[in-house]
Amino acid sequence: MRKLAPNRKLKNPVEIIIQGITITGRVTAVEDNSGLPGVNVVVKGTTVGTVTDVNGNYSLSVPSTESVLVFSSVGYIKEEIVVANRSVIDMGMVLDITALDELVVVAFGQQEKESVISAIESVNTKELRVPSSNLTTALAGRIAGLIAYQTSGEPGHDNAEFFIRGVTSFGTGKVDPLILIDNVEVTTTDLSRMHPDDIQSFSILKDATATALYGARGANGVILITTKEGVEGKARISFRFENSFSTPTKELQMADPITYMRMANEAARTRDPLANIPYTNKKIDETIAGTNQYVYPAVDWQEEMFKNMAANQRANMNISGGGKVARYYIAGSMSQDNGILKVDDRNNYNSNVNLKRFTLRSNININLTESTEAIVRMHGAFDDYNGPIPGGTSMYKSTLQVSPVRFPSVFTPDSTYQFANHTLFGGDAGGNFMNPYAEMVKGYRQESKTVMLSQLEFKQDFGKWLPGLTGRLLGNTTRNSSFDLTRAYSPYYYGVMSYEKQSDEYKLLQLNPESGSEHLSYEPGYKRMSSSFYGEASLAYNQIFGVHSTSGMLVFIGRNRLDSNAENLSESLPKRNLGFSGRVTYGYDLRYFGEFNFGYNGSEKFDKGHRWGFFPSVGVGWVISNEAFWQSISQYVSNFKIRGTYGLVGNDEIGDERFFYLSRVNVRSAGGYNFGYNFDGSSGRGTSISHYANPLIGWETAYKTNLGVELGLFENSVNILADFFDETRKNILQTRADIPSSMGLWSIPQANVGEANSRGLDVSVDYTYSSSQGTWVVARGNFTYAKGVFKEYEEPDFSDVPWRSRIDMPITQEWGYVAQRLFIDQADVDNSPRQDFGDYMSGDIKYKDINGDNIIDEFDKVPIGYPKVPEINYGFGVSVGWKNFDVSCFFQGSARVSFWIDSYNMSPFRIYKPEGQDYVLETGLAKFIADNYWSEASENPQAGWPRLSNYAVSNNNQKSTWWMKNGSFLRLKTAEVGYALPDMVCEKILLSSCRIYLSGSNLLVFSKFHEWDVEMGGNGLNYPLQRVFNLGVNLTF
Amino acid sequence: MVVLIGMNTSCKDYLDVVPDNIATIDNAFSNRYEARNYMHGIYSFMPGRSDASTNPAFLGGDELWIHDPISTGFNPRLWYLSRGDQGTDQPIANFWSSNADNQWQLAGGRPLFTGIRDANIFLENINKPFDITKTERDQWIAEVKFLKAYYHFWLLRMYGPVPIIDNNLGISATTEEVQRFREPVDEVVAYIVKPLMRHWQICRFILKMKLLILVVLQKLSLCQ
Repeated sequence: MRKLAPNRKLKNPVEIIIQGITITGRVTAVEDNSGLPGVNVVVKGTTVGTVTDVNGNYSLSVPSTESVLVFSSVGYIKEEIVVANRSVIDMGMVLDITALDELVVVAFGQQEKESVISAIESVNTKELRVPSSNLTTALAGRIAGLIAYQTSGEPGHDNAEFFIRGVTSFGTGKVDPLILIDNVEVTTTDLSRMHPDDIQSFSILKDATATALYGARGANGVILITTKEGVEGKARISFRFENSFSTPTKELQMADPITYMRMANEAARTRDPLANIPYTNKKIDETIAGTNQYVYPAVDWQEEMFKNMAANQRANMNISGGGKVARYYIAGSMSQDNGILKVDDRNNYNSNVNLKRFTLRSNININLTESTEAIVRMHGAFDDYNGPIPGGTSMYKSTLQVSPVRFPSVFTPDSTYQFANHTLFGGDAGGNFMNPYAEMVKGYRQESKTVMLSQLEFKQDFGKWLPGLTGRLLGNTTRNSSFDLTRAYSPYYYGVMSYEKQSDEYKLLQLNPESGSEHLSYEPGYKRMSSSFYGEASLAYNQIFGVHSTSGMLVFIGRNRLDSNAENLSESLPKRNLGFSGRVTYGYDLRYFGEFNFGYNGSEKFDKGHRWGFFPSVGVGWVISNEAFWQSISQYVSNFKIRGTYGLVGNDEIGDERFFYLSRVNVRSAGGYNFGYNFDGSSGRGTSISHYANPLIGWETAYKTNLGVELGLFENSVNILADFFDETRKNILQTRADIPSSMGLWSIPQANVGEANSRGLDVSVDYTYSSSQGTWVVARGNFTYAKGVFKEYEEPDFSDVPWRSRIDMPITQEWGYVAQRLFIDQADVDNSPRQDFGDYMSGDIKYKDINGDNIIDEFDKVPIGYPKVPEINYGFGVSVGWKNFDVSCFFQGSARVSFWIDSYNMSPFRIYKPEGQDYVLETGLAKFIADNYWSEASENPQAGWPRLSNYAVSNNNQKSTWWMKNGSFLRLKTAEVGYALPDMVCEKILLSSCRIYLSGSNLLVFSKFHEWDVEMGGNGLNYPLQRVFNLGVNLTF
Repeated sequence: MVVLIGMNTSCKDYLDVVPDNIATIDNAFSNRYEARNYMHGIYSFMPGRSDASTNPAFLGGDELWIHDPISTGFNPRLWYLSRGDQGTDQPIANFWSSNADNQWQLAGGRPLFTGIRDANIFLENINKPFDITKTERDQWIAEVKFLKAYYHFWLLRMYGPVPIIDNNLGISATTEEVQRFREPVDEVVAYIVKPLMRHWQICRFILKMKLLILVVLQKLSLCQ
């Protein structure tokens, strides 16, 4: 086109031929500066436009400098920009987190987001990225409706506990949600191994219409994950590498050894003035003077055994691409997590915790014909674990189970043993005391776990015969196998035989010459395997007739699972499910929606008469914002939808027994009797019945109601999603309580008589803002409240002690005594009701007599504190980006939860032999006890720890409000700063994009409890949760 | 659709995983050997009369005192009776119990009601074994009837009026049915004496049983 020269008269004034201005540029995603293919670049108000190529580049002729370019793409916020005088216009597009899933993944299919009337929450997988190898630690506080908490930080054992909408059943079976990856049921550990980069969609299905199709185990909610598929185009390689340092968030402080000895003497004398004191003045003085650290040891066991920091690495790579015939997505990841245990230099093996994880995934889509598609998914996950024989958590517990002054961890050899070829571990001649350092380094345990999954799926489009009809066939087999073994030598323990103070020389005595060994012995461990098969066939119909949209679906599933290592015949039989489910939906004019689902499932657990369960559900929805009368305010409230559902879902994992309709009779294995002169005549043994047959046991059923409101304000920049739910769970399996002894039964039968109810609220709010200069802000918050109570529970008649009844109390509520104070003196003890737990005196805990019968016993137990599973989980976070930088942080909190300090295991100075072991433990002294305890000098009735003792005082170890602590907290869960390299730099090094970031996890915690990380609750001596500092880089080619 | 229905019917057997010969109570009476073992099991509920840790007569009568802390060879739990530790929550020497109440909570007692239930099961099923001779069967019936009477006697001695468990109630009995009434002492005594008199002819050949029957009758005539 010829440019219009100024001052030139037009030949034909009507026909103005304008020379187009060529604009070029690159469209990228702001998070990582990667090029975005397939973005529509259109001149506003015209049909002139183009599409970006595979690198995000475009070239377009625009009519004039006043033209407005509109950039739009599915899943990204539309951008508009005036051309002005530029010829190169680059654009960064921000992910539209609400429209990201215009297609929402629902049970066995996908639905348009607008028509979804179930309570389904989709999570943006970017939210799930935390600097940890365990995905379950990212869940708490990020998803409305999910209550989660983590109690241990040990690599390989750090899965979080999570529940959808709280705990709603008190059966002994499954109360946590069903987890499905690519429609196959997997365990929590498989979920923990998933890498967010491989996840295409992550949804949680909360109410009846969403989960009814999964009838067999959907009653506790469903987590549905699909993995990525290949995208047509040149191979895109993405690579991520992270290196982190982790340290404990908080460790239990121990008192210093001198205080330990002084308090041990006090503990011995305070209850029995004539007792021997365990530590003489000489020992105390010499230890203070530091005369010889081996003869008068003062050991800081935590310092001896644990490091401050551990390094972990993670790498993940995925390649996706394809052509017209086939597309592929291949991903591999590797991670290594180390523990914080120290290693003995003399050993040539490493007994620190080390967990290596490898996963490999390959998803291949093949277009066999125009209408047939085959998908092959193969996945393998391999764990290799190396660690101390008792395990990381036991090592932490054991630092409180040894005295700091009895023996050192290791002796430097004396003249006799200087040529010994083994480590001289400390011990005591007076008894076989456990040496935790020896337990840690004496050997190692290796564990190996494998999961192999292979899946074949066929999709057929029957559009030629009936438009909108599609079919699908899927078969999957999963094999799990794991085993472990230990290798250890038997440590040689030494004690001090004599000590010459003048020359500062000691002589050692070998304590166990006959049982020590220098060579490694081998112990095989467990060997476990399981295999399962899953098959699915479905038929779906989707069609739009004018303003009516309908869809229907029928699914048939079968599942079979077999475990090795069964302990009896019943356990060895396969576990099977068959199910037949369907869904019908109808929508009118995108305004009114209705849905009906059903599931008809059978399980092998139940008697023939109760084997099958029918679980229907219905729902309706109304998109008010699509109504004609709404258009006037639609620029303020762009989306307003209300919906309600009601339905039934079943659960067949109701208890540990397999077949309730069969009796379990053990002949010749109960008590017996001998006749004869010397009881050597005829003898025999009777029959015991461990289980009575009950053919009436059947499905546990949940009746769920859900009401939801969705609000989108200011052109969807603010979105609010709120759901109110109410669930009644009936037919919960429970042990019968009203069977009198006169029935003479061998074991108490169970029956489906329990009932529970749960109700609550989950809300999520998010806000997005983006400007054309490339600044963007995303903020989101969510809140979950779920309270589950007993409604019917078999219990004795508590009408005269109504506080003991469980009805209308939360399911994880604890009962205990109300502790008032410590007894002030003996007169106080004599004038108070008798406490029936053994001996007690002044300085011990005084409990309240609730029923006024002057005895403190079972009838004075009342519900105390909040439930053990939190009732409230909330989280909020902000991400901000400008130019190539981005900063984000996320807070997570928990409220309405209580936990109890384990006073029995923390009671200091106790010497005892645990069951099943041949060594002796001696409880150490925690600093919080030493700082605040009742002593005869101070006699403070509100002191933290009651009168000392060197044995467990059962009066003080009852469950009561004395040891109850509030477990609520607010935590800065993650924070991240990232920088994306500019395009020009990237192109020079042949990269498509590159982003470097620094992130941290568990950085700060605010709570009332300070002795250990409050999220661990009553397990204060578990392997601590880790604070992580992480440096990562993400490259795409 | 037809295919799905067809698959469904054949698949109903898919969920039937249990093989047919899992152990049931009939296995305990399949032959003489099993039935004899079952009978030995009923004997095992006999309270130990000369054991200080199960017979309250030794330590529960305030005639003996033990120095605390206890380091004797037997379990001195029955001595706690003298210390005033008897209560309704976890009674000491709890003979009013069944095996479903945990054994360690019985504190010296025995689950006599399970013994009586097992005796009833034996009497219901003793016609099943095919290789027992008539005389043997009669003898065993007599022995078990004695044991049933003896267990009722022990309960009577400890608790006075007790329910008479003549027949077992099924597992699916209702709450009202399982709460049996305690029968008056006269009826309990008559119930105990009847089988002892009837089976005296057979039981007198077993020395221990003969002695026990004589003891029981003597005690009952004393308290009548």
